[in-house]
Amino acid sequence: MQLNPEFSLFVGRFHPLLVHLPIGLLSFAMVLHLVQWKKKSARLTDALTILWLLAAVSGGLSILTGWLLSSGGGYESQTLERHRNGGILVAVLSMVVFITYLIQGKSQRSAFPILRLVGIVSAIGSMILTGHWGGALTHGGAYLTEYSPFAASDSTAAAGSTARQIRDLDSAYLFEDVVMPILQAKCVSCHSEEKKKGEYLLTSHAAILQGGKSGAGVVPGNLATSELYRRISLPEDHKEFMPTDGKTPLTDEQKAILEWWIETGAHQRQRVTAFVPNAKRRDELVRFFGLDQQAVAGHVAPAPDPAAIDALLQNGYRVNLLTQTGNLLEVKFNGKGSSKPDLSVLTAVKQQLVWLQLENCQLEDADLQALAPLTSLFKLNLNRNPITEKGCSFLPQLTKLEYLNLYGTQVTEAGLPLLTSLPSLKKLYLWETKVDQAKIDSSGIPPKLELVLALESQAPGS
Amino acid sequence: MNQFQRPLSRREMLGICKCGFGSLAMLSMFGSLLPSCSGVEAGKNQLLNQLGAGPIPPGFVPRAKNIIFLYMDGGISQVDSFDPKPRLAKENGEDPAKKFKMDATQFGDVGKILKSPWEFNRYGESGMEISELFPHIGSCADELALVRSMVSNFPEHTNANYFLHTGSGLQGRPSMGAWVNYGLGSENSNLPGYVVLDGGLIPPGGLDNFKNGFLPAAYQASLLRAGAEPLANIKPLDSIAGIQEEKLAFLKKRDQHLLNSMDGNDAIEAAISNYELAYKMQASIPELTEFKEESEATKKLYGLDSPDPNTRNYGAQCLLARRLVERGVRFIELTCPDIGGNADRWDQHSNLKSGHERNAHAVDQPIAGLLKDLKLRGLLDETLVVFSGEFGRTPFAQGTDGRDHNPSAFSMWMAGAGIKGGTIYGTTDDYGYRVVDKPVTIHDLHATMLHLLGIDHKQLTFRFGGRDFRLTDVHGNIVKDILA
Repeated sequence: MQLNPEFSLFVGRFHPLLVHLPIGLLSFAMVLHLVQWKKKSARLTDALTILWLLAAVSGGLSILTGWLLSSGGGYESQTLERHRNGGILVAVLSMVVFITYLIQGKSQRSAFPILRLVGIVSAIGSMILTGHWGGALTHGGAYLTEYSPFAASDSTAAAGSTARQIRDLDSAYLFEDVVMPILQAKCVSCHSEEKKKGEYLLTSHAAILQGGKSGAGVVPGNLATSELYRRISLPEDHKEFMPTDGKTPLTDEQKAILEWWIETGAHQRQRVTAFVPNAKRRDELVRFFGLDQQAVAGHVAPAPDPAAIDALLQNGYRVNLLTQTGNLLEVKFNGKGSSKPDLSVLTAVKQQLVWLQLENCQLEDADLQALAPLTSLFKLNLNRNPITEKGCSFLPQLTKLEYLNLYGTQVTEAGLPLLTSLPSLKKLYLWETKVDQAKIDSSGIPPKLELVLALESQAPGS
Repeated sequence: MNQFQRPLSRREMLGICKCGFGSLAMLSMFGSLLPSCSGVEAGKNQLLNQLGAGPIPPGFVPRAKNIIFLYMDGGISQVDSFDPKPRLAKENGEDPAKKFKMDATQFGDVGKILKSPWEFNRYGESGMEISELFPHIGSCADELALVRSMVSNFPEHTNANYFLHTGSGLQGRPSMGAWVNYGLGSENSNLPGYVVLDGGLIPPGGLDNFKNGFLPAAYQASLLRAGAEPLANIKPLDSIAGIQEEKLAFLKKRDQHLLNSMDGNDAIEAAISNYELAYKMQASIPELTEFKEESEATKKLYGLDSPDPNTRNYGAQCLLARRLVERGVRFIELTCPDIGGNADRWDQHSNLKSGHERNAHAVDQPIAGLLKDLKLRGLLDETLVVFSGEFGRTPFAQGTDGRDHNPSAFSMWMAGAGIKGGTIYGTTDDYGYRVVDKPVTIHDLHATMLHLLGIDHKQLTFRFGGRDFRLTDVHGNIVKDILA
């Protein structure tokens, strides 16, 4: 018989309602049995006969609806099997006990007393176990003991749920912050300590590499022999495809990240920056963390050369790391209007250098040529230097630049078309320059760019 | 309790060191297996070591490098400044007890519902409504993120001040400026990282509002007074420069000797570094407080030419704040000028009109000047300006012409680094008495300030008395809606 799958699910979802009937009936029957333990009462026996019949019938109905419900899939199959067999046992045993009563009713003597006692005890025992497995199916195996004071604290399981929030790519760990959250979301519900399907655990780095029944889980640097990768990249209808049982598969982006992690050696404590992802990988990661595509938060760089840092420090630059764990640098030179920095040493850190402050350093137009290769710059202070738009002609390659401070320079409005065409620029400071506000062609200024020129008095509006 | 230290005996020495020796041996045997010692991580530590002592990088990319905290001592009345309530005008003079349930007030002298003596105007493209007390700040409306739903836990100045400054209503916890310096270090080795510009009024609760609490003593605030001598003895007393240096070198030698004989002592170490910093400050402070290189236009912007001496005083403090930001001082707090008469702080239990007017006149133009000056120089992009009192005031009168304390609702604003300008957040009821939507606690404010500095407020901890302490204790949600 082939039922309409939607209709079978409709009926099946009455299962959680119906299962409580045999539970209640059997519990009540147990009370009555205890009441007439020593002193038999004919009326109670009559009641018990009916109770056991009802238990058997409602048990049957529960089995039927349960069967239909499980046809929808999504249940952990081992527990499901136990729950199903247990349920059948409860119904069959109830029927057996009922039959013993039926026979007794005719012969007026206790028939098969041992059989009945065994039937009663095992029916109630199976009911308790079946109920527990049913609860485990709907709420998960750990539900009952999660807050138990005696439960062993499992730090690896907790690690995924308290994944730290990543606010910039530069400081993210590839395994801990990227790979683990993916596995946690898609795989760990079955490959956990409790279920350990296919004898494969996905809760720690060592276990992930080790693998399970089907061999090594992850072989560093080798996609072809990594069973984990093979399983998730099979066609979805393949019987070995993971995640199985119609659970949500990994997205292409997530697969690509796992692929990249395995290819780069499946390290446990390496940062994303250790491998300096290409543009595509970078975009995948930026999307994964939900970061701002353009902003410095999505920028990554390899560790800088210590010799280059030494050169900066020896030349009087102040060098700060932008974040504790990343490689991005903020470099300053305080010229105080008298000393001029050697800009050529900056090229060696051009991948890491995101913020550069060269205020009041007596820089001239020709000096700015040294800034042209610094394409990772997001923020540049050139304020109070005797530079003009000629010097700015070296800046167009700074395609990431968001902030450019030119206040107190000799720049005129002739430099504006070039500056406003910087693709990422959001703030341009031109106070106390030679820019004549009246001569600015405002049509050429992108709406996202804020020009700060002079004091504007905002009179109270309407 | 190391006051009575004596040399260690051989037994004690070995007893203390046994774990250390053991760990050293362990490290050399298994060190290469430790993940943190793998190539990349070692390189990272090296980079930090190479950069030497200096600022500590934050946990994630910061939006703000510095904070200027404009402390509005005494509690500005929200319904007279940033939270217009037309219903107060309609029901002026009626009995508040018949309108809403009232909490007990500080002085209990509850009068009638009192309308605001000031009109509200709409400012900027955002059309933010601000009272005519603050026409200059109003002209910066599009830079402000205004929070109208602040709540505090304390209706009394001292506790509310401690709460606002340290995240705890009790005396003795570290101030937010101390936390910031503990977290990020100082950019400038010649100046302290946490400076309070004393306008004349130390808030109730005293200097404990600005202390380091259980954090190392180096993180407490340094107080700079307004006027010719911002710090005592900032001009060297010795007429010949070399003599002072020799004296200091001798002092250091003796201190070092004492330090060695006591096997290290936090207080002596702090004293040595304090002498060094003080000596450096004799050079850096006079240069800082000289306004010679500031143009007349700039001075005028801050109101330094104002006929009102209080405006001139606060204007000079605001200009000093900008100069401190330029020199890399992390956290600068401005206290209110001492206006005197019936206008002691913003705490107008009576004479609301004249008191608030005189206070507003003192701070309005300087604050707007500060915002505009920071903006023109490109500094507002990396400086967070915070304007807040410790609580608000009641919408009904105390007596006839004052307002009492009200911690159930008040307004504050932030501007600058990472702030979405022209934003209004949160709502109070029709009387401005209680918050009805999106309440923001002091802990939320602290969490948001730390967030903008690149610090996760849950990670910034200090172990003291057997547990890890945070500025935000176990509270604090970042107010994301006001962030750019």
